[in-house]
Amino acid sequence: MTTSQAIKQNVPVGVKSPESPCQHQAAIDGLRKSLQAALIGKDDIVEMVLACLLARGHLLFDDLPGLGKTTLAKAVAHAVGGHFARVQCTPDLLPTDITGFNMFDQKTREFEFRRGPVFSDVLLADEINRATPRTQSALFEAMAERQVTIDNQTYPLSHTFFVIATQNPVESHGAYPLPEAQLDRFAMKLRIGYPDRRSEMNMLAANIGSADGVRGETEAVICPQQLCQLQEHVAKVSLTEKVLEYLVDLGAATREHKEITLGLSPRGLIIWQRIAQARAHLRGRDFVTPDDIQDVAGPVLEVRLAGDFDAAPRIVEEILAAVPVPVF
Amino acid sequence: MTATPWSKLPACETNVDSAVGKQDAYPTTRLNSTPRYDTLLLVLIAGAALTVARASAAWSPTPMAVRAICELTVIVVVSLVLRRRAKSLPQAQGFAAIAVCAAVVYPFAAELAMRWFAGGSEPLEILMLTSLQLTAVALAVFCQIPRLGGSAVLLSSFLLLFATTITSGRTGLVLGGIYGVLVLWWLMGAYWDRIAGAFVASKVERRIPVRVSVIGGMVIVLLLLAGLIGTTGGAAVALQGFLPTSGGSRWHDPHARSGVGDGDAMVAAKEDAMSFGPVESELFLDSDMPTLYDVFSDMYGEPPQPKKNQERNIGLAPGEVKETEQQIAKNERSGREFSAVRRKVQRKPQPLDDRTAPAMLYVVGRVPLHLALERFDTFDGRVWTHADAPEEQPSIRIESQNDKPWAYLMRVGSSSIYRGIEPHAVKIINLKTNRFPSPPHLTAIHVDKVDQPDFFGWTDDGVACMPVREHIPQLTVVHLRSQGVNLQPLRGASFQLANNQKISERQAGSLPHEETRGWRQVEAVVERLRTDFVHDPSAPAPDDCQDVVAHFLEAKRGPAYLFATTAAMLLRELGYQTRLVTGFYADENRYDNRAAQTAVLAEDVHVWVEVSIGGRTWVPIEPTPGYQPPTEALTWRQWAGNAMVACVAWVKRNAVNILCGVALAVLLFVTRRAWLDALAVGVCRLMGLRSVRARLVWTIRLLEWRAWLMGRSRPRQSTVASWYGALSKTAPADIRPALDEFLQWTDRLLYAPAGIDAAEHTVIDAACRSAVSASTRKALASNFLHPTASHRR
Repeated sequence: MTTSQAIKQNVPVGVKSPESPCQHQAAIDGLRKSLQAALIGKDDIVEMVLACLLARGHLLFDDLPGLGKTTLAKAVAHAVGGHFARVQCTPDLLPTDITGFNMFDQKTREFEFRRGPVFSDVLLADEINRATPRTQSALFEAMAERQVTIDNQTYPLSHTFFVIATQNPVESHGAYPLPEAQLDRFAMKLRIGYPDRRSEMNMLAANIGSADGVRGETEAVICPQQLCQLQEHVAKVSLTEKVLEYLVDLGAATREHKEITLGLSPRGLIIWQRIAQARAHLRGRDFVTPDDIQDVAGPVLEVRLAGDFDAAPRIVEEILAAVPVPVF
Repeated sequence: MTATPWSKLPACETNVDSAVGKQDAYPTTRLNSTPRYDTLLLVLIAGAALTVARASAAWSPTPMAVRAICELTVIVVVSLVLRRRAKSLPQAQGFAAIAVCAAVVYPFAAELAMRWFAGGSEPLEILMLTSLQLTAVALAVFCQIPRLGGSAVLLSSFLLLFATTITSGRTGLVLGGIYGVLVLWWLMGAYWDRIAGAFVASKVERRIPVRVSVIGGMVIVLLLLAGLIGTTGGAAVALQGFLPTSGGSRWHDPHARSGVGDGDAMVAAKEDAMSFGPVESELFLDSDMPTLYDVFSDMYGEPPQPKKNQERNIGLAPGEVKETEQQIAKNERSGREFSAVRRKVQRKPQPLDDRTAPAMLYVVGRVPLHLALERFDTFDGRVWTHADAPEEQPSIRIESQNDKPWAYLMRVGSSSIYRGIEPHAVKIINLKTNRFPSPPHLTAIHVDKVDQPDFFGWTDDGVACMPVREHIPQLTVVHLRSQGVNLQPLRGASFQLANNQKISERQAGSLPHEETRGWRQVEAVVERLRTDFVHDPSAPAPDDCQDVVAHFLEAKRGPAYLFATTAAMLLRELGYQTRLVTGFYADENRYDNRAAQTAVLAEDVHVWVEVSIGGRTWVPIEPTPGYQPPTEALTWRQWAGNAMVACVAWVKRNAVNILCGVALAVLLFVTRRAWLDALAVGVCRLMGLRSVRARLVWTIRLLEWRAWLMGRSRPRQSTVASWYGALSKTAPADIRPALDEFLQWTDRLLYAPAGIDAAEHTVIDAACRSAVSASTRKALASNFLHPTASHRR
């Protein structure tokens, strides 16, 4: 029995699998609207989260507390109609707390596998840099392989397994910063930032009358199977040879930039391409233009280019400026 | 320091192994990094040094310099085009190999073609250096390929070394200095790139800077050599033994640049001389040479002899040259004359050949130059003769300067018109006379080893000569110093007239009366003769003419001696003291750049006039059109004034054309945007007729062109859609959807694998039309005022 079948009870009734492009677009619009309602005034962040979701990437939020990271993660989980799990990372968190463990059942006299939070569709790993490297590694294996191995037994995870990790850049005391090689597992790093004045006022107005201060749960828009189909559809968005060349040149430029100690890996290039495909699909195109690649360059590169944190936007600009766009 | 190809390219000589791996992993590595243009600059500076050497070794420098510059331009352009077409590193390497092969082969192929068809030629070492130079240029253009840039600089330093060694001018030294400074800069850049590359790779590599030390050593040697040549005045020419040279001491090569013995250059023999030439050796040799008298007869025909002498002349055998010479030598002593009435000379037209025609003299120094050999005072209507009473001449003294004996003929600076000293050297080749060919205002003469004052003297008609000899030995080199002349003081004031004759009735019609007396009047007479009369050597006065001046004034054409005679007589009748001068006119058209001298041939014999400006100062004037008047030594103020007057005169002459041209240019400039835009739109429409795709492509080109005209070109990192998407902000609401549609079509055209559908013709056409109308100048200006702002959608 697969995990997605196990959590089938979460599938909303009446939602059908999208078959035509038109239905695809409707599904995406629904997702977008749902997320925009959860994170007010941050349409560009929502677009990136959607791109990441459709590209089957994992997301890292690098931001201060209280800016809506958890809200967004929950909204994503509910919108895709999947199972949501949350892990609050602390230094004493063990790998088995995330993956699950075999427990001896006194009645049946057998070992029974207790599933951890990774057996979900959307996993929110809060303050991931507070967990020990050992625990982080366990999570990273799950993220990369979409499976976990416990006592020589391999358990597959959900096809739409989507990790949203957060880390707090301010508190460094007692934290284990993620190693550069591990950061590569994330598709992109986003910073939500403070909302603008109008959005904050809207947000406050929306909270009037809500006793617990937390908004009601978002309705499911699509089911995990639909998401899976969307993801497969995104993977078919085409790139011409000159756009591929442009992407490869950009990758080479990251390796030659003087301020970057570790350039983009081939895996990073593949993720960049996939995110650009998702971006093109979100814009209703079935081909990738250099604009798509440029638009997602910031979040994609910032997570995996080791170097000065504050200089990252400037370095990304320099890398983009170094490679001419293919025209004719 | 910006990032450079050394760090950007995968292969570098310190980490070749890792580079090979990278290259295999990415076979389509593109040459998109910016090349180091300082490498090309260095090579071009070395090329300039070689161009100077080539031009100075050529017969005529300007065409050679133009040719060299054209060759450099062509190889640079061809290499650049090839480099742009290269899509990957291996392809670029292939193109570089092609360019280098062409650069190596071209000079020799061109030389073969030149020798077969055109006749011009270049010496072997110049050909080899040209080949090296073009190779270096090709390598420099492809300097993004590992090690080619370094090789180019290495070749260029060799090139500069060779080129400065084989030239003697200062230009080579200056270029060498500039090159030295730049190459140090280049080396610093190369070294910093290495370090930057090493940090990125985080590897500890071999740190012996091979390229830097080799090229640095070359630079030091080069600078030392430049200093050596500069301070020792060419002692480093001894290095020629290390360089390939054409010519030599054992054979004669007509294409050689230099050489001794049988070569084209001559050196003075100290002892046991094997050959003779016009150099200052201790040997003086005589040979059969024509006298000035013969030359005049050859040029203008012999004067008609009275009948009583005819029998005696007929009796001479026509082939006995020696006897003829003796007779004329006798004639020289017994009071000479110059007949203004001569028979027409029948000469076969034959093409002039500088190299084979025997020169009378060679002149080193500024040309054109009038070299006087004989002066005549008295004229009887047909024949000029010397004055009865010879003029008193200043004494001659010998002074030694730099261990050379100089014979001083007159006091320096004795007249207000004198300005500066001008040196000349005259090499006597085929002229038989004991008179020195004298430039105007001769002050000093130097013949090597001749330090006795009695070797110098004056003839009765006032020409410096060697009185103790029958003629100056053949191949003697005579150094002459003369005063430069500035006639401006004369033009300001009238000067003392020698005698005061009245103007005859005959001249009244042809002379400018309005001129005040003085130099301006003299110039007016000369100018009238130069403009109104035609120089025609084949139109002498008839044999029975008794008044050649009257005949000439009527015929208005004639040879140079009639011009001179007429000018002298007209000026005399106006009261000026004049005399007729015969000699040679050193024509600037015969200047030989390679030998730095001017050949004076038999046909350069000439007659002109000198005017006395009081005292014993005689100023030459040139009445014959086609011959340049004696050059004045102008002050820079006079020169600027003359230039301005000439400019103003030219402008006045062409006022209407200039006004029309300026008006047209202003109109075109003011309306440049309009007509350039109209032109571009026309081209866009025309090209777009071919297909839907062409329509889109050319509309994009039109947008790019318009943005470029506005100074807001699309940055190379922006796509067409993102850059011109900003236009829709100000576009009218009715065409905004069409404009957006155009941008979408653009994306589809450029980046969609399927391309565009020809069936969408009408939609695309409308989209293109809206894009053209939306990208007006005003719209571009308002949207692209801040080009740094992001225009992404």
